[in-house]
Amino acid sequence: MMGNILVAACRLLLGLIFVVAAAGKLAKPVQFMGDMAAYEMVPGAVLPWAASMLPMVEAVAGLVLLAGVPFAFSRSKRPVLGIWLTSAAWAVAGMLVMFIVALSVVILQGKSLDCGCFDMLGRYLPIAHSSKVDWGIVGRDFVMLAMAVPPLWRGR
Amino acid sequence: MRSRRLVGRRREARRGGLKRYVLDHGRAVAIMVGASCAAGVAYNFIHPRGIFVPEQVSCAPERKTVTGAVPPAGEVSPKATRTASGQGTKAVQHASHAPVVTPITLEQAKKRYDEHNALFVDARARSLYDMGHIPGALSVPSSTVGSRVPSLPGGRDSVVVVYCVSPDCDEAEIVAKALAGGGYSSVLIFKEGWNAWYDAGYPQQKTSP
Repeated sequence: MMGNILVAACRLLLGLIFVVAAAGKLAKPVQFMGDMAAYEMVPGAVLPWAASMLPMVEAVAGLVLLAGVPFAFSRSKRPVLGIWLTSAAWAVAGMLVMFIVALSVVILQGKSLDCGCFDMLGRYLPIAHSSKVDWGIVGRDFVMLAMAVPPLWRGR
Repeated sequence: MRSRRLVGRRREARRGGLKRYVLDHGRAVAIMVGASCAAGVAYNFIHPRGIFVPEQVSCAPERKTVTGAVPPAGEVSPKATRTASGQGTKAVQHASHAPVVTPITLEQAKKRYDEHNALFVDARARSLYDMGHIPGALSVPSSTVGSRVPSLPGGRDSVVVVYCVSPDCDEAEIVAKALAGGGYSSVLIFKEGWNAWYDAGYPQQKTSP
């Protein structure tokens, strides 16, 4: 039972965070591209494509996780969303690893730039109090990465 | 249909071990991410403020000037545009939709000042701004910008003129790039900067202590 609650809570939180983060980016795609450009990691020719793809991947993975919240308590042998729930958790974990690497690199390079994590919604969210890249944001991503573990464990 | 097949595979995966798990989940992740990427690109073609909607991103200078603004000659010459993008920051420079920041001369800046058809932005440190700046200019020190897009009164369609101390300073360029990258459609850079303005004896304003 505790396990079910944990899995449901993790799916709910991660799903919400990713959907909210994606919503901010989808609302202002060009600004997000600007934030991404400042990282100087994606070549210019690829940048518009990458900047248009990433928020939607976040949104879909987050929505699938959210859709899976009620099914954490399902006793069915045949999970409704099947392999997709676990795969969404993998996608989220993959993105978080990517974010952690990118953030660590720019912090180590000593750049001071806007995270772009929650973009325009940042100022309304207590979780995103600081939008400048710092180790706190990397820590936050590690916490989210840890939250991906119970859903992955459930779908093993 | 596909998901049923994959669910069936998942059961097999329990028996088939790690390899099956990686194959099945890898495939599902690839399908999910691939579909999302396609949707994301489609979204940015359709959305009025999307990345692939030319009006929003090409930031052609002077295309959306404030009402009544007449671009002084030379501002939109292809040569000037090339120069500006040639000096662009590495990340933005390569983008096919890279925002363009157009340089303007002292005379053009003064003309815009006299006609009140541009918003002046002072990219120097706050202390320098306080000691004297172009009247009406906003202080947006480059150190506070990073990649954050400053939000200016007047919205993204207004004409913005960014300046710093002299042609050698790079603060104006940092702020201008941030503005242009953030969707401001008419960003001009006054390269000669404060020194030229001051030397010409043009109006100035000090922040009262």
